[in-house]
Amino acid sequence: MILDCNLTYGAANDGKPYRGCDTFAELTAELDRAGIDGGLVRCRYSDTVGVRYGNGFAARDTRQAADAGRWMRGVWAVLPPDTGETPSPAELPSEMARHNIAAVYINPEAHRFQPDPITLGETFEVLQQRRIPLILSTANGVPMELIYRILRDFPRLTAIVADQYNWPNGRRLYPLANHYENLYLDLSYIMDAGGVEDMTRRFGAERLLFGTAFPERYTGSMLAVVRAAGVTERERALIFGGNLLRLVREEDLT
Amino acid sequence: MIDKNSELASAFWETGRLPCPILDFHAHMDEHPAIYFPFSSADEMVRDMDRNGVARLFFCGHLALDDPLFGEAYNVAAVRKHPDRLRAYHIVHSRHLDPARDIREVEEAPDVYVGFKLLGDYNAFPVDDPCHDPYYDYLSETGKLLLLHTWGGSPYDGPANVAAVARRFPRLRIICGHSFFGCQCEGVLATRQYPNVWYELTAVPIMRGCLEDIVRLAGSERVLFGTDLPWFSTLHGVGMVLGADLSDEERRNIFHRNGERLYREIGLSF
Repeated sequence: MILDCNLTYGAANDGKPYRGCDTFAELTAELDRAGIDGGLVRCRYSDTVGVRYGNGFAARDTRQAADAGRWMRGVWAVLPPDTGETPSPAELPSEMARHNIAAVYINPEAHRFQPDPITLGETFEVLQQRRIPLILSTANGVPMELIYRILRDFPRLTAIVADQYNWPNGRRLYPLANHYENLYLDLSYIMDAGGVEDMTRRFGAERLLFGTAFPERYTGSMLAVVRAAGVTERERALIFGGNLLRLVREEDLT
Repeated sequence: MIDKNSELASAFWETGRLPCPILDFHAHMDEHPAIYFPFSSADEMVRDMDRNGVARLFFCGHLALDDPLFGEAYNVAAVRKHPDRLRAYHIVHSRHLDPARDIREVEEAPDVYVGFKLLGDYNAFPVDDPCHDPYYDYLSETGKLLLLHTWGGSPYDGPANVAAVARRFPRLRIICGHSFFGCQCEGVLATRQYPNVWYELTAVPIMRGCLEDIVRLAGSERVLFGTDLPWFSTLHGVGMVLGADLSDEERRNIFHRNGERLYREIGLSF
């Protein structure tokens, strides 16, 4: 099974010249064409239109896909609970379970909040206790310095980390992967020669998640990298989907 | 499967290798101060080429890019160790120009060099500045290649700079490295009227839709495969070409047919 941990849809208005993916139907069509069975999906509207709007679409659309038999789970943006715009930390796991949401992310740049323990400490505590994956990506407005700070404050977080703006990024990612055992590396931006093999050798395939960053990037690129990487078939299966299946445990939410 | 409608993609998915050769027109080699590479030596790169079906690779090592005085020696040593697989571009440092010396070095090592490489952005120096004319005259006379780093919005190697060079030197074979990344449409539109210009794919994989834009505006016959190895995995570029909205004929043009044609034009056997 091939599962992508980094999928997005929703009409983008970000000025970037990539070919977008406006609708959920376009997303599933591309997954069918590429041979990807499903994955974790964000709705871009959470960053560009409104969090409740985008989170609502992600819940509705991934639920429909899951009900139709596709392994598809949504990803929600979370905000400081003080404003009451997203579920409170106490309610978050059950709300996620109810809405087919398997992971959350923060984007302090788009959502303009101070990413500090004062604002999100309680949320991070719940995520940590319930082993709910938190996506920390430099592509989603979380600079690398902040990723280091969050993990220093909450070292048991189940974190999916991606680094878009620097590659090959071993000097930034490897210290994190060595230090935090609950940290998983999203391979969407690991495009250097030998990168996947090097990470597999150092950290074990169990720590790596296949991702494409579709639609900003071609699904084919990382499919080809993992398909032909010099790793064992067992390792390849873990990277392609086994790890994500293990990571997303509905029982942690309910 | 990458693209369920593609025989080429199916064959790759089945075996992990393309059923056709790959000619890579843009690579590097050796260490770089800003970056950790899992591998970067000539031997390791050739092993990687073997694994991924890359028949030949043209490169300019990082040491030559960053050391205007002594870096070329590493290019020469790498090619002479792997003469059937590697060829080098001799670097042109716009702020350390010595055309007589550089051309002599290329002339004295015909087994090593396929042409020159020029990085306007890195030197903060326009590629169409007349100080480069001796190089362009030499390349025009000999038929060798000019690989330019080209980037969208650049005042040094953007569309207008490259168009000016192509216009003044109609016999100069210009490869636009990165295909004016970020403004590929503007770049191709500014230069496609010059049949001596080709478009190369390094960096293009990180922006979905770029490759389709280039092929739509220039035709797949003008596109050359390149990776920036070891910065990008060969597989990453292969996957882009297989996953892009192209026909298998267009993909084969990019992977090897255009390169083979260019090889014949410059007298390289394949």
